[in-house]
This record gives sequence, C-alpha cells and structure tokens, in this order.
Amino acid sequence: MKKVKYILTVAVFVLVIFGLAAAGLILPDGAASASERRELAQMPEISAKAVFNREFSDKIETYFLDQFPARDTFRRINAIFRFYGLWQLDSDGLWVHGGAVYKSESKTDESQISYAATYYNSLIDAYLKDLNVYYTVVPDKSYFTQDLGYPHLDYDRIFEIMTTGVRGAEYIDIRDTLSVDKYYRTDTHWLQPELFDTVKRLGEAMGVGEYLTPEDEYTPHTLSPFYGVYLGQAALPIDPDELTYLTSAYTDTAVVTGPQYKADGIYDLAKFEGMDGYDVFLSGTQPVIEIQCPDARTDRELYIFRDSFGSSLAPLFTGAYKKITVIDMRYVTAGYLPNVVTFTPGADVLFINSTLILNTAMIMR
Amino acid sequence: MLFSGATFLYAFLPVVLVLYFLAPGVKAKNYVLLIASLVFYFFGEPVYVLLLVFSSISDWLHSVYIEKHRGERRAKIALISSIVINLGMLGFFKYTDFLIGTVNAILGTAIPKTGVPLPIGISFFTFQTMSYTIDVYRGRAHAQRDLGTMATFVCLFPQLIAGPIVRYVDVAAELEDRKHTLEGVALGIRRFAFGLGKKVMIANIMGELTQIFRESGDKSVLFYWLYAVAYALQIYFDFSGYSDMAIGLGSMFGFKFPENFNYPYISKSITEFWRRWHMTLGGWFRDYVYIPLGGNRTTKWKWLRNIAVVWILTGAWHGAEWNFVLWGVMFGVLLIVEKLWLGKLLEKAPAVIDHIYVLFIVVLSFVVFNASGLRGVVSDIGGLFGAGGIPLVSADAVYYLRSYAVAILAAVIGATPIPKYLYNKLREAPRVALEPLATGALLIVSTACIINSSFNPFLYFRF
Repeated sequence: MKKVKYILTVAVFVLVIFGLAAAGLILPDGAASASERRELAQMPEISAKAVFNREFSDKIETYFLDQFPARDTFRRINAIFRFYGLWQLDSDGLWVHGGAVYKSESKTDESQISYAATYYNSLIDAYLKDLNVYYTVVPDKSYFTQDLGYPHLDYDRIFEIMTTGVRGAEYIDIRDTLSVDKYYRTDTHWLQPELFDTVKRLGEAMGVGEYLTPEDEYTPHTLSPFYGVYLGQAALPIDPDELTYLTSAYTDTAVVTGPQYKADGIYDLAKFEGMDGYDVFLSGTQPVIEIQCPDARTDRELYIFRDSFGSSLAPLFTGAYKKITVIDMRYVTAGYLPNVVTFTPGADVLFINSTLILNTAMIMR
Repeated sequence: MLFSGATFLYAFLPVVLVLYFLAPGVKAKNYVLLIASLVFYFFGEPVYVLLLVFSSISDWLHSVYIEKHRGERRAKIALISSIVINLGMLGFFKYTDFLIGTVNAILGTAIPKTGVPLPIGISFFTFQTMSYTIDVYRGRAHAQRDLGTMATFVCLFPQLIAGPIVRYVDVAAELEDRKHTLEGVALGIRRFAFGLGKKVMIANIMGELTQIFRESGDKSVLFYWLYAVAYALQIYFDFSGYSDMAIGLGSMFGFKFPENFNYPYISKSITEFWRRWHMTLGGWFRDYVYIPLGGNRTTKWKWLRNIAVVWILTGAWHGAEWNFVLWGVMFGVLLIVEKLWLGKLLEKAPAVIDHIYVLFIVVLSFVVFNASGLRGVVSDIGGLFGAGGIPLVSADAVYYLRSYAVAILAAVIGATPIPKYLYNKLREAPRVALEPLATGALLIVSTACIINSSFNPFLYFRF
C-alpha cells in the first residue's frame, strides 16, 4: 500500500513539474496577453554584461512567469483561492460586488491633485485666456460604492482641491448625472449610451444644450465580448461585457484627423480586437485629434482636454460643434501644444479627466 | 534563484533531477550536485560564486592540514587561521558598513561606507564551514580528502542560502555513500510541496499585509497589531517553509538534513521557544560558543556572561543593525530571567497564561526584528501602544482585518500541530490516492500563487 502511494506521489510530481516544464518548452511563446492587456516578456538575450549584473536572471524569471503554460488558468486558480478559499475581500486591490469588478485606489495623492489644478491654470494662462473655459471631474466607479467599506480615494478632498484650485474656468459638476450602473461591470470606463444626462449637463453649462443631438436620433451598435481591464486583472470567472457605441447623422459625417489617427471615422472598430476594446472610441491613445462636423447645428468650436473617458463623450457633441479638437495632455507637452493646436478666440474649452488620472496627474507635462 | 520561483521549479529543478538520477554512482551524482549548486548560486551572485569556491578550497586545505598535524600546535594555528578567514569574510561583507555607520554616528565622522553588497547566504555557509574545521580539529570528523566532495558539502544548493545549517558530521556518511529510495524521493516531494505551500500560500500573503501596512497612511493601534501578528506569521512560514523545501530536496537527493523548526509558537516559555525555532542555529551556538565558554558548568556570573555573549552574537548574526542586536539582547535577558526565577512561575501558571506570555513576547520581538534601525523600533513598538496620538482603530485596519481574517486564522492553525494531525489521518485513510492528490493540489495552487505573485522574497536571504 505504501509503495503504491509513493509511486503515485512521484508520478504526480513528475506530471506537474516535468509536464509543465515540457509544455513550456514545446508551446510557442505568446506576444501578448489579451486578458491582462499587456505585452508578454520574451526570452532575454544572454550577454556577459546581462549575466554579471543579474539583469538576465531577473528577466528570465519574468519570462518564465509570463510565458508559463496555461497562465490564465493558473491566474484564475489563484484568484479563486484568494476570493473563495481565503475569503479575501480583494485580490491585488480588485474586488467584486454585484457582478461588477472594482479596483481600490486607496492612496489619495494630494500633491498630484494639486498639480492637476496648477497644470490646468498654467494652460489657461498660457493659451486659453480668450476662450470660454470649463472643467469637470469624472468620478471613477468606486465613487458610487464608498459605503461598501472597500478602500477608496478621498473623493471629497479631490473635488475640494480641484474646485478651489482651478482659476479662470467654470466648474461643471456631473456627479449627480452618473451612477454605478452607468459604468461597465468589468472595466473602469463609463457606458456611452448612459451619458445623455451628463452630456446635457455639460452642454447646457457651455450654452449648446439646445443643439445637442437628441437621444432618439442615435443608433446603438454592440460589440461583444468586451473584456474590461478589470476582468483580465481579476482573473475571475465573470461574464464579459458588451461594448455599445452610438452613431448618428452627425457622427457618420464627421471627419476625424490627427497626426497619428489612422481610422476612417469617429469609431475605430478594428481596435476592438486589440489590447483594449475601449479604443474603439476615437482610436484610443491619441495626442491630438480634430473632428470636423460639417452638419453641426452651430459654427462653434470646442477643445476637450481629456483622458479616455473623454473619448466616448466627444462623439456626443458632434451635433453641437462644427469642430471639436480632442487633446490628451499625457501624450503632448504643454510647451509643444501651439505646434499642433491653434486656439480660436471665443471657442469653448472643456477639461475632463477622471479621478484616477488626477491622482496620477504628473504624467501630464 | 528562489525555490519558489518559476525558474527554479520549472527549469532548474527538472534538469538537475534528470541529470542527477542519470549519473552513475555517488561520486558522479556529487559532481552533478556541485555543478548544479554553483550554477544555482551563480544565477543570483555571479561574482560571489568565487567566494564560495574560495571558502570550499580554504576549509578543505585547512582541514586536511589540521588532521595531518592533529595534536600539534600547528593544528591549532590552522584552526585559528580557518576561523579568522571565515569570520573575516563574514565581518567584511556583513559588518564593515555597520561599523562605519556606528563610528560615524558616535564620533560625527564621515567615513565613507564601502557599499559592498552582502553575498547571499554567507552567514549560513561560513557557519557550516567553521563547524566543519572545528569538528575536524576536535576529532569529531575526519577531514574530507576529496576536494570535490568537500565542495559539494559547502555548496549544496538545497541548504546553501537559507539553511538549515547542516554540519559536515550530519551528512559526512551520505556524501560518501547514500541510498536513493522510492520512499526517500516520495517523502522528499511531499515535504517540498508542503514547504512551498507554506511559503507561497501563507508567508507571501502575510507579507502582502505587512507591506500594505507599511504603505498605508491610515495607521492605528489595531493596524499596528495586525501588522505585528502578520509579520510573526510571515517570518515563521517563510523560514520554516524554506527549511521544509530544503529538507525535502535533501531527501530527494538521498540526504537527511536536520530539522529546523518544531512548532515554536506552541511554546510555553521563551526557553522552549528557542528549542523549537531555528534549531540548527541554536545548536550551532550551543556547541561552538556557549559550551566552549563553559556553558552553565561554571560560576553564576560566567554563566550569565556566556548567555549574554551567545545572544548578542545571535542578534548580530541575523543582521548588521542595532535593532537585531537589541533583539538578541532582549532574548538573552528573557532567558536569564526565566532561568533565574520566571521559569518556575511559568511552570506553575496555567498553560494558557504561558502561551499568552510567549506569543506576546515573540510578536513584540519580531516587531523589533523587522524595524528599520533603533528609531524604527521606537516608532513601531510605540505604535502598538498608541504612541503619537494615533487612533485605536482606522478604516484601513478594519478593512484589512476583514480581508485577511481567514488567511490569518489559517496561518495560526497552521502554526500548530493540528494540520499534521489531520494529515496523518489522511495518510491512514484507505484511499491510497488521497495523499498524492493532496500533494499535487498543493503544487498546482502554489504554482498559481507564484504565477500571479509579484511579492516573493525570502526573508532569510539577507542573513
């Protein structure tokens, strides 16, 4: 009996250790992880320098971890062990409530928030004095779950710093136009079809409320499955979302250009199959984009300083503005801005960044 | 390379096992182990591997010379030479900057530090080689004539960098001739899987909690205690898990390494705690420092001096910082107090009081141990008792207590003999596949934790 048990123990060990080692050798290396939305480490180059400064040993461990056979399955086992074995409330800061995944960003960095306010002021002083400047702050979805007891940003403090720190711009509060169900379950972003109240609030504050495209003039289109950024990170067995984007006569005729913009139109459907499905909106990461709206109901211009939340919001202003310039200050420096954007006096400006970006605002230069 | 790393588990280990079991005879197997051990060390310390080679050759030469001149004055000189070289290496790499820093702090000087990094595992392998030459001098061991075999002992990767401290006499016979049995391999696998599980499924998770505490801006008395308990559990499961893996690997390769832990957290006195915690280090200091100084068979004052010397050295062995010395002194004082009068009181007290006393002291001691210098000690110990006006409870503390409650409870139970009792029941079960399946499940879940983990240090590497 004992001998059989020993044989089985050795067999299990060989199966697991040698089996996975062999699988790692046989299976081709992956270039990227769709679930984690990142490129995977490749086999590091061996050189005497890399070996002796221990760079090689560090990189080879990362390579083995990244290229491990059935990596997603093992990540899922780990998540199940954490959530259902140890009953942890979160794993790597990710937690689940009501079928939605959230990420705890518990450390509010006031210096970053203050930097954002000062940064807005410097842009206003340098380029936007003759324009109508507005700003808003997009609460991330944990804003709406503060009473559940999970660690979260100090939202009161963030809004206080921003509303008292920004000068020469009108603050538009959009918090009451949003709720947790207006965000994707598996992603950090909001749902475009749920933004009409928000767009109305912003549009009315900027004086274009009556020119906004009515909700019933939009046609929803669905892309599925949409694996939100949190879904891959959490590695839990949760159903993916559906991504919905809206088209109208104004979005259909909009002409979008930019130094790095390659899509034909306001939605870049090819991006849905990429690392981040949300890049469908304005083709994701872009420093500067111009949206010409020939059929717009006004001749007004709008400049949006935004993060990815602004990507899905901007198309909903195509009926109200002749030209919308969308700028992401994470990818263009303030000093370089006049080289790529000419500001028209009298135009509207909207600063719109999420609390998550404001808490790491120093990436805006 | 870490035992709990993917490179070790899924590249290094399978290759070494195949080569090892293909190699004919013990001598060839020893050479496989030696080369594998040098590669293992080279992977983490490409330059310092020369130190390991030097240490092997030096102690081999010294021991052969000592044996040749046994009973002569020259043997004693060779022994002193060997000890000076070993302690010199340890002193230079581990304590030079500590001494410079201390001199600078006391005298206000600005002597630049050397900045020489500490070779991994130097405290372990220098103690092993010292015990070897001392044992040869005392006639307890024969000098190893074969340099390759000697180097295999010094460099043996399973216990090279974090113990247990294996003495030459423990494995001398096995280095020359050992049997490889199915039972030895299977039990080794089981022990290794258990150690791996302790490390990645408990210690790393407790480590995450201590890191969260350090980074939190929402400290409270409750959070300090949560941290203290988590760290005490982390260091136990980290170190004992590593020892289990080392013992398991040794068993697979036909060696029987000494035990290093025996449920220290169930002790009823600090004296008992130290008979159960890092047993090979305690045994080393007992046999090579305490007893040669006279042990307890001397005057009371000399006996107290001997205890003090051992515990100052034990503290300093763990790290070149004053908090480690304080940690050692603290245990030295407690052991003296227990031997003089507290021990008798503890014997009469209810067991629960004894356990509370030990756990309270041990948890506090590890806060001292993990503090950043003496200022850190004051800050962290103060935090446990509300110094600095911190609140009793904070939102972060409550959240992480809730989040880690089951993990902490599992770790607390895991630190007692209960899991072993349950495991033995499992072994007695008629279903023969249960134990192998449990071992396989441990390996799979541990691998899952490793694949997802970015937090995977070994605490005892720095010693």
